[in-house]
Amino acid sequence: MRRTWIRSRNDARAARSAGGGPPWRALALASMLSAVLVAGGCAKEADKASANRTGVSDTEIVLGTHFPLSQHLAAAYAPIATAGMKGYFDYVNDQGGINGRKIRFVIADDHYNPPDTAEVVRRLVEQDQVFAVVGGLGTATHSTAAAFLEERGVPDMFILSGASKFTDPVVKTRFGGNPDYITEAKILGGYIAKEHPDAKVALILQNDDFGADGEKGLKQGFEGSSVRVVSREPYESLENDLTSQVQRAKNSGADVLVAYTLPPQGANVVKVARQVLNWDVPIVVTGVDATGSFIDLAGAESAEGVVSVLFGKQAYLTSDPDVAAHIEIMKKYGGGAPPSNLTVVGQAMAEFTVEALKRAGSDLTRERFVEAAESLRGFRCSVCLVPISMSPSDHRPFEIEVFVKVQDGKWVAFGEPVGFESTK
Amino acid sequence: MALITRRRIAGAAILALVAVFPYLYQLRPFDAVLDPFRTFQVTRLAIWLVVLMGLNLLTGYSGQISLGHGALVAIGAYTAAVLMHEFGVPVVLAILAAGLFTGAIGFLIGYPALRLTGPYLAIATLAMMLALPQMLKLNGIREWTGGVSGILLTTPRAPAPVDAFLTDRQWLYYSCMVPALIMTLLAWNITRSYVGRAFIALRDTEIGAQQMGINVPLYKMIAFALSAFYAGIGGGLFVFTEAFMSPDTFDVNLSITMLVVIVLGGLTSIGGTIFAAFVMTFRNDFVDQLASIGILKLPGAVLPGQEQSPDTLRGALYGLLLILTVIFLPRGLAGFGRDVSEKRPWERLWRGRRGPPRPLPVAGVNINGPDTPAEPLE
Amino acid sequence: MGEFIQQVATGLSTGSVYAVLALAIVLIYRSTTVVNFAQGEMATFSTFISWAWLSRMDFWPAFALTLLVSAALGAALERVVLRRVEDAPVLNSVIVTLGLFTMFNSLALWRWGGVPKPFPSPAIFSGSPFSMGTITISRLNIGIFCMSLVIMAILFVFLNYTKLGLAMRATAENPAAARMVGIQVGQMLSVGWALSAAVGAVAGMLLAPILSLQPSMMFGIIIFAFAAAVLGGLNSLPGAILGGLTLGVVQNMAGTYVSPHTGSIDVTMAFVVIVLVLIVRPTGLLGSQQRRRV
Repeated sequence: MRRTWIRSRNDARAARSAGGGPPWRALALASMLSAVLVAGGCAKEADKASANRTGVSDTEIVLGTHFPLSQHLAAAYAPIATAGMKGYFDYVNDQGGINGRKIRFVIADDHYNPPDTAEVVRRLVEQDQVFAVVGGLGTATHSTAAAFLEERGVPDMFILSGASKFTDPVVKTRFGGNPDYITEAKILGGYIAKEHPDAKVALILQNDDFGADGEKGLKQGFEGSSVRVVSREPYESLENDLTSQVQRAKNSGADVLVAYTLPPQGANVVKVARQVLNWDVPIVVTGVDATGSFIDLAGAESAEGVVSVLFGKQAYLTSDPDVAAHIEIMKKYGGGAPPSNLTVVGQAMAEFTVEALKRAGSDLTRERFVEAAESLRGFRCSVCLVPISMSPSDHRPFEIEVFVKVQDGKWVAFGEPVGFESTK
Repeated sequence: MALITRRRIAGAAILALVAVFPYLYQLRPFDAVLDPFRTFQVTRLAIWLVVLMGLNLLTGYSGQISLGHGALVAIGAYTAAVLMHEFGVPVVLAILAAGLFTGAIGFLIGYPALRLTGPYLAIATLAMMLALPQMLKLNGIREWTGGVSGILLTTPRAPAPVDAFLTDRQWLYYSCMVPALIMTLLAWNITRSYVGRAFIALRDTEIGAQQMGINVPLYKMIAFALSAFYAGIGGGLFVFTEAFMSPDTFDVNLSITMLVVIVLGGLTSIGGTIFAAFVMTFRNDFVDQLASIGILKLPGAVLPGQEQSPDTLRGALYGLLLILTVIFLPRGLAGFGRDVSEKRPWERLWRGRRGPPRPLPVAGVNINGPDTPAEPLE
Repeated sequence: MGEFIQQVATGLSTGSVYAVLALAIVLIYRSTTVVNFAQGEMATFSTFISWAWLSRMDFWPAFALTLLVSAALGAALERVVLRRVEDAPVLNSVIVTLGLFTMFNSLALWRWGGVPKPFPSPAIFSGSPFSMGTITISRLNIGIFCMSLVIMAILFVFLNYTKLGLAMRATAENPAAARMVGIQVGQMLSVGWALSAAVGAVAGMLLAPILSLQPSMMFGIIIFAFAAAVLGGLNSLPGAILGGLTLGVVQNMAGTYVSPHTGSIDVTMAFVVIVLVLIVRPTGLLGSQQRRRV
């Protein structure tokens, strides 16, 4: 084999002066190309306005959000923004808008990846010049965005994450959207303590913030009762088959099973428990699982009797005029997405936003918008089951939830709504 | 060699551009296309440059397929974060320490990697990438890494003496660009040194390299260590600018995207890595552009009731790009650029076809067989 | 004691899930020496295709139709894409299969959406679980296990006792020599991909009732399937099954006895298994040494 790839020093020197030198050519090429991209990308011009009025013109209010739309399993949640929120905003625009202004809603794809969220949120604020960010999804993803938005004074409204760190301590421009996971878990824990006073509880939890908050809240709810946690089974969010976890939970001798999971895994838990292991204990699941899709995936028979909590109406209650109206809005403005609890949540967040914008009046500034949001007390959106309450010291809308149980393949409300103040 | 060459003038011009970039948006002709957001993006670009350089040193020059580079970046980021958060170590030291620590880990990874070839190495590194989020949440490690909620640092600000004439963002820009330039220069020197040639030998023919007297195990481990060092520094810079780190920040998708861009940019090429860093930084803009001209909307192709969003096709676009590049442009855009300017196809067209047809090119590898020099240095 | 046996039984159930996907991975590697990182996504894509048909016909006809379509898709992929990188260094084929990974995932998301869909299991595999004393195993898991054995048996007979199978093995071992003997190497590789895609489709359709049909369905499983394939030996079909079952049992045991102290470790364990096997005994439990010609 010829040793042509080991050069003598002369060869190397010759080659260096002939073709060598730092890669200026590539740099130049790259700079030119990116300049083209950048210039093209800046084709969208935005109104330049003063900071407090950024994103507001006489005809338009610009709102933005960051959502996983692709490349991640969380893209399953995309319809919340693309159908629920956008659909409702388009509907409101067709009705004449708010105080004469129409909403322009920008949905930025962050693939549920925190660094990408940081980038798209900065783009929303600095290039799209949004007035406010509404309904950003994800705890880890929004962590990077929250600090930035707070620093810039951009209202960070109705965050779609139940992480308590976003609303405790209260930040003037930041509002939660989902019920706080800890609070919700506390409500469920209280229910278990009341219905099954001496229960031995098995927990199946997602190995992240969501599961951790759930556990915290449940334990708070168990306080003062003789309920004990006898088994704790975590799983990674990518895992879809939880047979082993349920098996271990059963072996621990528990007589109540609580699942802090997302719908596919929650359905899997129910199916495995009921169908595979013949395990008949009461099952309680997080509100995130209280969806029609959960029942479909688990099978109506297995899901029978599963308990959860809800704040939004079920999309199949077509006899309810508000739900029927929602279905109509989705049909016309929702890009064809099927109505589901996702679209309901989206519309709920959109309705809060619209109400706050209305109350802020024609002289619309970020300050007035935020104060208007804080004034939403006892307000009940059309697709909500319960009214919301916010105040200068409480930036979470939902503190009350309704208990629901699966009966005949549908979630049916029972008992009295229970609530706690999520912050002082 | 003359002191002032065209090349050097071009080089100085580009360096000057890089030096003043964060201020450009305030000047007349530039404020239409530039704004502080672009400064943010170019800061990111500097970080990607460091990270991708490490990956290219390993996969491009040394031919070791590593799908776990993202994991090394994460390790670097966490190391720096923990040092800054728990121990109050100053930023520069923390990042350097992160680089060295990650480099050491890379060196250790190199050892089992000695026994693994081709697809086996890919599988093992992919497994590392997939397991890392869980490993970071394990009970023993959780106290350091903040477990599932990650580590939140204080927002980086320009320090006292300089904040008079630098905004926070400009400060971050220089803090990242300077190390990036240094590391690029370092890589450029390494690839043209004996070490670099040993790497290329390693990639082209391992057994042949051994015959030539290169200590294969040692250089393999050096390759891993070096790429890990870059990853660590990149991770440290990342966590410094982001001020947040969670176990899910660097995921498999990112590893794949990194591979896409360096293959697209050009393996075994410093210029290619620079190009790759550009693509990486501006990839969202690129997809947005395609979406706005309707390329990603195919009517009637989706299920009724399914929202048609160009973003869902982004992954397909990357995959397609990757496949097309490997098949048709195996030396990436940098290689293509080099071919175009050096082979001068316009001349060949003028004078008619010359020479035998070229054999099938292979990604980043010398296509003309072992008897010809490795690809021309740039 | 009964509890321990139940743990083993559950482990075997989980393991059978890994085994069936590992079979596809091993098959592709055996016939083309390519590691197909897109295996899971191709299986998911095929399962989505079958879902579209299930609304119009029964399970088994849809199943058969999907197998045919998947096989055709696999052969087409080989012909159009893989053919061009088969002679190139390994890096190229790794990159190409990774590209296919993102492509299939994205296409599935685009066409059918991210919301998980229920997928029916065939009638003979549904119904009350099979129990023996205190031990219960779901019928579906038993079905998966049996199907893996059936597939393995079919492939074993095919590869070892038919002319076509012999030609495929020859192609994989030494393409140049095979060509000299008159074997159409390209066609053999296409057959390999077609078979593997079909096996993947079977895996997908059997697993979808458990995992819920969604584009990311295989994300959690794929690393375990690779670990199983490596553990059993990347070029051994019985190894794939043995590896899968072993991994399932070990994982379940670790989950019961180790996890309470360390937190969740299943994915970590798969990684450790892969690394250990590749260092200590790269050919896996049942694999055979592959001689690399210089």
